[in-house]
Amino acid sequence: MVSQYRLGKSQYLKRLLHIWHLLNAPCSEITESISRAQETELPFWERLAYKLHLLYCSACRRYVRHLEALRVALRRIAGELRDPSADAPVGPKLSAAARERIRRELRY
Amino acid sequence: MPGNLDYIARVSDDPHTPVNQSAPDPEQWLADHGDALFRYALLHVADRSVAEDLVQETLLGALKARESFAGRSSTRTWLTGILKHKICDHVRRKTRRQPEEDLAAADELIADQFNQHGLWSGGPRKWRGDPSSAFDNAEFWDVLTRCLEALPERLRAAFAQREIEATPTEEICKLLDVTATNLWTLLHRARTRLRACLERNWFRSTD
Repeated sequence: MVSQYRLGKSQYLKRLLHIWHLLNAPCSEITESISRAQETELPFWERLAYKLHLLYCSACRRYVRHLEALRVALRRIAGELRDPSADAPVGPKLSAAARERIRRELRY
Repeated sequence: MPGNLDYIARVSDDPHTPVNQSAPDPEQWLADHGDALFRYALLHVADRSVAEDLVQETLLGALKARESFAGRSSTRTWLTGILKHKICDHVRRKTRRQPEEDLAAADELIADQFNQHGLWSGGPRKWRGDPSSAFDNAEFWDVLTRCLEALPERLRAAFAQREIEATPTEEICKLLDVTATNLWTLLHRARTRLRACLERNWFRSTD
């Protein structure tokens, strides 16, 4: 623990530069943070950086919204497919040939 | 369904009891659940013939295991459970044989979405419509399938496991035999490519 408070000058500078870089990260890097935040808890500065970025970047805000909407839609459709009472009328179906082939296999 | 309960009772009394008339009928499974299983598989593998094979394997597997189906869950839930295992087997087989993506190199399809300063070049536009209601449209299924198909096997599998199944990341790492750091990269690439593909081919607003 103690060693953390005894950083040399160059280490402080490195740390500061790292934080500066995070706070100035472009959209390409911010989207990586946004994605990774779905899987793990980000370090404090990285989290702060992408949250600040989202405050002023409407394109990245849309990126987040789109992925969330897609996730919600995919989980909903998967849930519906698991529930026979909610069968949707549209969507791809087994072809007649595949259906016949499977039927034959099941009889055998 | 009294017929069903009768079947379960008889099987538990004597495992060698021949299957009686009221037993669940595999052809009925195909009729009632075939299309749903097919769509479910298609979301994962994005290939019609692979999805058809997975439905077949699932029903054959169900046929073999039907005595273990105690009717605690619905037939659909039971069949979907078997399908999920078949999907994982398929992913394991497929990804073992494929060379790994070069995760150190930049992903060009993603680099194209940004300019040289790392800022979006024309990226995320306002979407027309909502993905949830898009599934009511048969054409959207085609577009989604093509966009998923365009992803390399590992990216697609990582995406489907995480976004559809909400599988914990440690399990996906085991399934795909990758480290957590690599999985994060795979997921970021899959999401960013798929979002752009769907925007280009479906959600782009005309105005």
